[in-house]
Amino acid sequence: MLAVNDVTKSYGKLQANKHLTLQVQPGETAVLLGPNGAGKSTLIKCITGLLRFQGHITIGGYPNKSLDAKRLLGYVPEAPALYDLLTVSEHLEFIRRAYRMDDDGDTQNLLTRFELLDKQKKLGKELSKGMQQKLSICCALLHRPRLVVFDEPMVGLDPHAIKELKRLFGELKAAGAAVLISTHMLDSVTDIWDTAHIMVDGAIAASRTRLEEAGQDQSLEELFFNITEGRQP
Amino acid sequence: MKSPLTYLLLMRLKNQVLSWLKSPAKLIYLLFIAAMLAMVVFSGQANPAMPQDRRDIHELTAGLFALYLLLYVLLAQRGFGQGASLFRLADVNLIFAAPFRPRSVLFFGLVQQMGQSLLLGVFLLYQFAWMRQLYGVSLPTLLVILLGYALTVFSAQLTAMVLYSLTSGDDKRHTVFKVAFYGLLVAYGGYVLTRLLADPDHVLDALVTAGNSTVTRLVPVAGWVGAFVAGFAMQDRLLAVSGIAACLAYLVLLVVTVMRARQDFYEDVLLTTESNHNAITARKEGRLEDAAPRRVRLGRVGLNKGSGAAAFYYKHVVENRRSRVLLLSGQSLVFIVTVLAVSFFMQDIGLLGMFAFSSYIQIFSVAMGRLNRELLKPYIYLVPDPPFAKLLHSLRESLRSHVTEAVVLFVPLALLLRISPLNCALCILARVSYAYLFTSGNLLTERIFGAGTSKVLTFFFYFLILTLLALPGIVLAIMAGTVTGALLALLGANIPMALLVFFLCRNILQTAEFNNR
Repeated sequence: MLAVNDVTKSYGKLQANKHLTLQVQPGETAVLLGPNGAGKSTLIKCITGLLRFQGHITIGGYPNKSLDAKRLLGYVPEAPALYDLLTVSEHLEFIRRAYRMDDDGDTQNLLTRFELLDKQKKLGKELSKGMQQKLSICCALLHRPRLVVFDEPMVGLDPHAIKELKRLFGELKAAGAAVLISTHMLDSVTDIWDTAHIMVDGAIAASRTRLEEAGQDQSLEELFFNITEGRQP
Repeated sequence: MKSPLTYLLLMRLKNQVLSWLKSPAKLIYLLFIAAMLAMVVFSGQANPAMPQDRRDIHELTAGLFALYLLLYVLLAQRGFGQGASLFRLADVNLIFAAPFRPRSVLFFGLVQQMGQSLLLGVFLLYQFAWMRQLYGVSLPTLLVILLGYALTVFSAQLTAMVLYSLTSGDDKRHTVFKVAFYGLLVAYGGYVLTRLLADPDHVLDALVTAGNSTVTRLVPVAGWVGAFVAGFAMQDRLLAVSGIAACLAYLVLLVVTVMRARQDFYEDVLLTTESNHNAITARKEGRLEDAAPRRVRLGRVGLNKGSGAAAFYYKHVVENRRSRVLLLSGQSLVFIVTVLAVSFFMQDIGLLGMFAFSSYIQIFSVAMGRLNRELLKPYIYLVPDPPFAKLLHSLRESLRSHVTEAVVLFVPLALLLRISPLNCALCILARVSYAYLFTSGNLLTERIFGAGTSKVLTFFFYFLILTLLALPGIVLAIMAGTVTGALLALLGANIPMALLVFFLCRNILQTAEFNNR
């Protein structure tokens, strides 16, 4: 569903991403792990078509900036990007209209799951950070994307919302969607990952699948700290 | 050993200077600002008007009093809301929690704020050329005008802090202070009105006389600072000394009140410090907070129309409806009132001069338009519709706003300056053409420099691009010879130029970078 092939992104002399290659298959949950400044968010923005880059990225076989690829993509940014003067329900109506979707009850379902039903008439600027993050997640999922990219999705969420989000990851996987989650909080993805990519200094330092994990004497957490603390190249 | 607070102030200053030297973009910007300032001062010195050609300096001192009063009222009245703060969030987190005496912390905040107030008034230095030309203002007088500005801002912020400290949590006291504050303002307004009614045929003369009267000199802060500046400009020592003495005594009184009223003033400044910090962070991250009244009236909920790219248009309709105060947004109204006020006092510069001034102000209102806000959110890039369609639908709503703004500005201006209906209509059309020319400049800057890491440098190039795009129109207008011809020339040059840039940038949403670092 997602293929990243030899992607490099530079800001002047600084290379934020260096020749990155990875894939996420339908029904697979991949996580991008790494310390702050490893280049995870930059890669996510390249995948979602928000940044220019060298290399190739395809979504469902289409170039990532094509309209066909955009139809398949859902994106939850690191900082919730909401409109100050739209209400919660208007945000979802806007997304539904922009993606040319009919209202078949998904809006109500998402609002209920993320406890936003009683906040429908609140403006974007009146919501707390956690509420904004919940709405941002709803906006990304409303058009039923086949690839969902989450950038630090747990930040600012309350325990109930985290639990609901983890359940949602499972449902997306069961429905055959590809999920890519970027995070520096290893604990938050322990139960859900199928493939993990550890990024350091703009490059992928190691990749591991859940199946490979079983045969290793080193857990993902140990591998992560060995790499990020410089004990393992 | 230096006090830690003194050390902190000095290190901040040192690091600020070093950051300018280390960043080529900031250094270029700073040198550009300095060069422009030197040019303004030099040109002002080189073309002094003969004393007999100068205008009455009382006009200037009355105008300065009005500026100081406006500033003081706008800033001080915050004391009835969230209050004001002399501190940054880093001060709150690191200094408030550390074992310093509140009095030392307050003085630290005062010194810090004094420096910032002075910096805020630097724009006044650029007014030297016309002040010199029209009123024969000397360089030391200009510096005193700047000092007066800083004193007003500083006093107003301290007043807001004291008002908040004295009135928060006590409704009765809050009402008493509010009535007194606005009561004084209304009383002074009444005084000016009586002076105007006494001489309705000479409005400007009546305003100038009122702005220099003894009653005006007694108006707290603005009147005292105005007296100090006017005394210096007119070499009236008694007036200058009495003005500055009253102001300093007031400041001492405020500081004593803060210390006496509430030893623990930390809580009073917390909310404002946090909201100031959020606003600064938003600006640094390229997020534009939506200009909206504090209490937004929701009205009809829902977009109710549009699909695909058209959804952006109907979304903008809803957003614009909620951001309006009357017909226009609060920001547009402020810009329009500024232009009308300037044209009232400076009718000599004529229609084209006023048009040029209003177009300059328009750069800032266009920069806050819906499309620019949209470019700072990811949705416009993500929605699966053709990029040109998304661009056009994002510009659709702005046409109504630009036309309304132009009509609200130029119809009163036409009455004020006695402009013919034809020229008024041309002014409206030319202003709309400038709105789209500036929008196209935004897009071009985004297209060429969108991936740039330096916001300062991008801003610099943005002004350069706007100048280049506007240049053909300006040259043709100068060559036209008549006012009508000049306005037609502006229209004739701006519209094709804007259309060309829109065409060249039609795929910007496909190729540009979502640069909100």
